[in-house]
Formats: sequence, structure tokens, C-alpha cells
Amino acid sequence: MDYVIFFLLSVVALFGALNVAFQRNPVVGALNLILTILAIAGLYITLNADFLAAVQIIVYAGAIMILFLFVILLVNLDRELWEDFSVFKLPTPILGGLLGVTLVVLLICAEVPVDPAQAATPDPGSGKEVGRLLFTEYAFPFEVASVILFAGMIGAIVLAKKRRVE
Amino acid sequence: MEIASNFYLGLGALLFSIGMVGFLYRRNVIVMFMCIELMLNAANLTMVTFSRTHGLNHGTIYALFVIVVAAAEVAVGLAIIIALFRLKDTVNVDEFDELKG
Repeated sequence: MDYVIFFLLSVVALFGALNVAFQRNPVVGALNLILTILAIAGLYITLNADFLAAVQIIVYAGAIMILFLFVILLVNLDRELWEDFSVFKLPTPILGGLLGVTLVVLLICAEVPVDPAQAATPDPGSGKEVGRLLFTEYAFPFEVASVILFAGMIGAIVLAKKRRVE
Repeated sequence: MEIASNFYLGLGALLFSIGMVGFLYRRNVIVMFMCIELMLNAANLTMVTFSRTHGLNHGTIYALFVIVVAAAEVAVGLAIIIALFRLKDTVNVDEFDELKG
């Protein structure tokens, strides 16, 4: 049963990813990226990281992709201005695809050491356990992350502001 | 631990390579940015897989910080794209060639 769920979620994620990379309409690409993000959130739940799945849905699908959609609709391209795939530059996608296939084969045949006996905590992916680590061992990166968000906010406002004509 | 980690790692690698090929192939700046986000998600999936392998939460916290940094990066990157669009009225990345030597 676990394999069925994993297979369904990974098929949805791959379908969304292929549409992001190869659809000409950017709005369809953004919506498919939302689909991929939701499928990956489902995969996080199967990997026993429920808090991260919730954060992913709220932050990634709920904020970042909305920002993307706003900018895509702001730019408002006509259909003629989408790229035409008739100008097909062959070497780059083929080399990239070869590298990707090599990576996939190497990782599927790799020996991942199983080392589960370290944690005695009953529910490792829950908010309680993530919070315990986040506020003790990773407290400094947590504060730095808030500074990064603050800097990003200021930078985005300054860059996107309309210049007043002096 | 029901499903072997190799499947998740293979899926993460596949998503990453799809994002990489999309990034190298497309010329629309916003779609390239979305392929970057796809690559970040694939790396996050790999980190959470290894976090489950050890039974600890450190990989999950790294993935959390990656999401935070991705949020800030998307805000700034889209602001740059908006500023460029106001200047040159295009999102085709081949036309931003003023720094070309």
C-alpha cells in the first residue's frame, strides 16, 4: 500500500515537473509547479516529516507560488511573445538529460546505510520535535533566517518601486 | 521504514534533472526561475530522505531553512524581473545582453 501511495505521488510530481519545464504558457507552468509542490508535501508525509509538509504547503504553495502568479499576470505576455520551440538547440537538453539519467541510475543502485536506532523520540517529524531542535541547537540559524527574510523584504520593495521622476 | 530510500533519492534526482534541463532550455525568465524552485524542492526531498534514514530531524530543519531562503530569494528575484521588464519590456533572457563583452 505504501508503494502505491509513493507511486501515485511521484507520478503526479513528475507530471507537474515536466509541465513546468516544457509548457509554453507560463501560467500553466506555475499551476503545475503548485501541483508538484503539493505532491512533494505528500511525499514528506510518507517520510514522516509532517511539520515540514504543512510548512511547505503554507509557505511554498501558498505564498511563493502566489507571488509567481502575480508577476506572471503583471507581465501579461501575448501568445505571440511566448517562446517558440521551433528554435531547437539540441546539445544542451540531451547532455542535461544524460546527466540526469546517470544521476538517477547511480542513486537508485546506491547502498544507503540504514541507521535508525539513534533517536528515541516517539514522533520525530512532528512540530514538537522540530521545535525542540530549532530552538536549542539551531537557534542561531533561526535568527539569521529572520534577518534574511527582513533583508529580502527590503530588497524587494526597493527594487520593484516605481522611480519618481525627479 | 517501509520504502527504501533509494526510490526517494531517484525521484529527487529525476526532479532535479528535469528542473536543470528546463532551466538551460527555456528563454522566459520567469519559467527559468520556476525551474530553479523545482531544483530546490528536489534537493529538499533528498535532505528529508536522509533525515529519515538517521531517524533524527536535522535534515528536516535544513529543508526548513532552504524554504525560508527560497522565499526571500523569490521575492528579490521577482522584484528584479519586474524592474527589468519595466526597463526593456521583455522577459526573453536572450535580450538582456548589455553586459556582453
